[in-house]
Amino acid sequence: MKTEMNTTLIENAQIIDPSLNVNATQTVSIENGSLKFSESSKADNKIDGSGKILIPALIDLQAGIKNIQADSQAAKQAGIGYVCMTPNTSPVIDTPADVTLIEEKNNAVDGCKILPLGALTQGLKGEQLANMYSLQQAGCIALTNSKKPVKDLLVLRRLMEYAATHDILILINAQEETLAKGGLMHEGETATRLGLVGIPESAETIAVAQTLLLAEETNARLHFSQISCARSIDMIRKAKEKGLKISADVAIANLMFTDEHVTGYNSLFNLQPPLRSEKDRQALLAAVNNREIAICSNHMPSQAAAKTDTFAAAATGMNTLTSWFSLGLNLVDRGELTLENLVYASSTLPAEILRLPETSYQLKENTKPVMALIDLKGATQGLSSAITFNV
Amino acid sequence: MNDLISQLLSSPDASLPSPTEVASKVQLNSKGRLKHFLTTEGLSKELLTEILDTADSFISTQERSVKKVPLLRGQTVVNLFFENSTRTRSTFELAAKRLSADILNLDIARSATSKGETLMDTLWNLQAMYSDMFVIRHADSGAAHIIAEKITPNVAIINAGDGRHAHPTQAMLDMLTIRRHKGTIEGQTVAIVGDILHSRVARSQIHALNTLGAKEVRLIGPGTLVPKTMEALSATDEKKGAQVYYDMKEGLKDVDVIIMLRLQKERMSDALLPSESEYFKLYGLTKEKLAYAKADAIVMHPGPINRGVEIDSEVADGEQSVILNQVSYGIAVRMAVMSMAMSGQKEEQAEQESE
Amino acid sequence: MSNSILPTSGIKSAEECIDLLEAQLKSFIQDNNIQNPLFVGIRTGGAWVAEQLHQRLNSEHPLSNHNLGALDISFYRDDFSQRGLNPQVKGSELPDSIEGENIILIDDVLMTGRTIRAAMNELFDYGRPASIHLAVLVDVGRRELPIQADIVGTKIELQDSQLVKIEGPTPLTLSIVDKA
Repeated sequence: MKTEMNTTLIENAQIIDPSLNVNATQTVSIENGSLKFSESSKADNKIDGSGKILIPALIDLQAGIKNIQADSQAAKQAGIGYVCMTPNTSPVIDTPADVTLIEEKNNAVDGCKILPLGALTQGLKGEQLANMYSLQQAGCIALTNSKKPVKDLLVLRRLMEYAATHDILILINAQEETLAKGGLMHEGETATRLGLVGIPESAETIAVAQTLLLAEETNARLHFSQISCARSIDMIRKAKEKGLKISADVAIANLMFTDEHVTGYNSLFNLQPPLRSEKDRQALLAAVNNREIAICSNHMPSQAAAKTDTFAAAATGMNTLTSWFSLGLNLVDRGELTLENLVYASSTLPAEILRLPETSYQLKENTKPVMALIDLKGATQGLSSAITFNV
Repeated sequence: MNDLISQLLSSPDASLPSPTEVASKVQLNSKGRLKHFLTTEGLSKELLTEILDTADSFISTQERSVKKVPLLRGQTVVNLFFENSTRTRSTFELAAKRLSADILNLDIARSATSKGETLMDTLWNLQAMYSDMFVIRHADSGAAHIIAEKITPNVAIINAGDGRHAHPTQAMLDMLTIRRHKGTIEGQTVAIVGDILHSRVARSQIHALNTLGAKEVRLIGPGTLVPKTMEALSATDEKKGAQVYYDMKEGLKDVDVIIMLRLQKERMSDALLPSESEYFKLYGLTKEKLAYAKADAIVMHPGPINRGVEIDSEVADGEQSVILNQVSYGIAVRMAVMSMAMSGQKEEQAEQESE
Repeated sequence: MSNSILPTSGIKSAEECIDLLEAQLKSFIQDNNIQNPLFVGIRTGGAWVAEQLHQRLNSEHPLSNHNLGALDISFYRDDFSQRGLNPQVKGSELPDSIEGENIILIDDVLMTGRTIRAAMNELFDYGRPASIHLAVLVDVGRRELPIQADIVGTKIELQDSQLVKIEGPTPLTLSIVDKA
């Protein structure tokens, strides 16, 4: 964490910290990185905080990082403090050396903190366990199957048993491969009309059900990455009520769009997981407002040329590295999310899921949390207008 | 910053256009004339009728000894078939020639383009060679739409079949057949039988039939091949787009037109059907099953027919079959849509130049 | 663009023109000893005129088999690139063969001559006629091609902004409109 050696006075910003139940407009100062709820007479720079929010910095639970240096700098300018980097790189992040390299590149620039996610299986092939403990020790905050299939349920169960031994957090993209095979979008009326092969709801819900039952047997600490179905939320809620260590996130795209957006074959909406129905979108929004699930970017970048092709041939994924919170603010403007719940889902809950130290995300006086001052109007228009402190 | 995302952020209240609006916007020029022919969806009754009327006038030119008209002389039409089909390609070739256009045939296997040249580059190179029209057949649904909307919007695109999505020229020649043998499509009860799930022809037929005023469209076949979601195609608030029947006897009752679809052998190995014999027992059109329909019902098939699988030889060659007529109308319909789309493009380009 | 209809004093009515054409055609057919002329009207105005003439000559003269046909020149025009296709294509109606026929080609207004050029090209795609003679209701000059009518109902000289407008089929009317 870098500490600025100066004093910044922020006048009349809206301070929001859902973990402390704080939502108030007031003047604060940041002295050498330390947060003070008072005016400082010896301020080096003054910022007019009206129209701005001061929040624990955003935490992205899943992003495909192509260029650590450029991406981390861009993210910091958008108010993002931490980005979890998926291991589906070349080479796959499945050894401690890979992790060290990432750290070195990250530390060389003034960007946000990149949190590497390690592979659950060697080479992400879904067959052999990766060196989970070593990866965790080297700095992997969690391990994931990164949208790749695990060979079978027996292997999945063993992954969980092994991870549970060291209380390692596992991020799972739940999808039943044989049902999802060949699918390009959500199975339903739109897919039928467009003639695109559909991915039925059961491809996700069956995988979620199986994974939950195994989690119960193995006592694993499990996080579902990017769920898309209303039914999945119900099952996850029930599992949590039973006391299982389960969490989940939703990709921003699934809160904004539905399968109907695919009409016209815009390959921007060729996504994994697919966009589901309006009923699912409403359930996901309700879950966010109920503080049950986190929001992430699900950033999967591709070049414009790779997207200018038929729907089936176009690259999958949306470029949301710096814009996901802006899209969230859009939902707040529309009245579909409250600002507090958006911040909770984008900062507080991810921090709790990743078990980051409280001092890094709670806006307590005389501490040095990683925070972001975001200009609401600018951010809503998609401009990266944020200052991120202590990262 | 991604285009759509910045677009969204600047106009967050813009409501999603309906599928009909999307389909009509991409195919019509500012005067509402056809400039691409991609799907029967989203086109008005007037426009579909214009296609049929124009096709009728071309039928008369096909019956005289000089079958050519000079309408598209000097224009270059390229047949771009990313998926093989000798039949469809040759009818388009013949249609172009009879309009006096210059025609180029390109069989592009998908793997050739994946050896470096993208779909985009392939098409831009062709456009640079002064092509006025592309006739496109592709294995991916939506290919023609993306090409018309995003890649080469100034080249008239005719969809010769894209994945499972649409085969509009086939649907229009089927409509012409019904009109010629029944007088009108208005008020007819039409049954489509077979593998609806994989059929681009069926989807295009359903849209056209509903737009042209058919009383009822029935879809008949097993649950694995006839999804209920098909009932939503061209549905309005008052009426479903189609009605699914699993029982052929019930489905064919008092029907005016029966359209049989081809069954592909792969359906057996994909666990969609047990065998051809069981399929024929339940859904094959025999003389006995034909009797459930009206006495003057006509039997159609987009071809090529699988005798003894979806249709009995006795019926295919029988009195009520108009299958061979369908083939003869194919050239006239294609001449009609090619002329109309070329005309709409020229009109648009003339307008743009005068601005 | 408002079309103002100008007074037609001094200009013959459509009825008068048809009377003139009828008379001239009768003598033309007689003088040249034309057997079974085939009347071909160019859609849409020319077809209306041809129908009227065919009715009149057919009822008066017991000449056998005055045939009547119609030509739609939409597919033969030379301005496709500028104007596209006419949305009201009706198609042509001609006998299967016009080999050896004596055709009286009939149109409502003769101006640049391009319509007649297209009509003749189309006729020759149907076969080889023995002769083609041209009868027009109105000749307004302004040729762009070397084409002349054999029989004319009336000649009108127009100003640059004026056009002749024919409406029908019954009653058939002739008026001059100003584009300005």
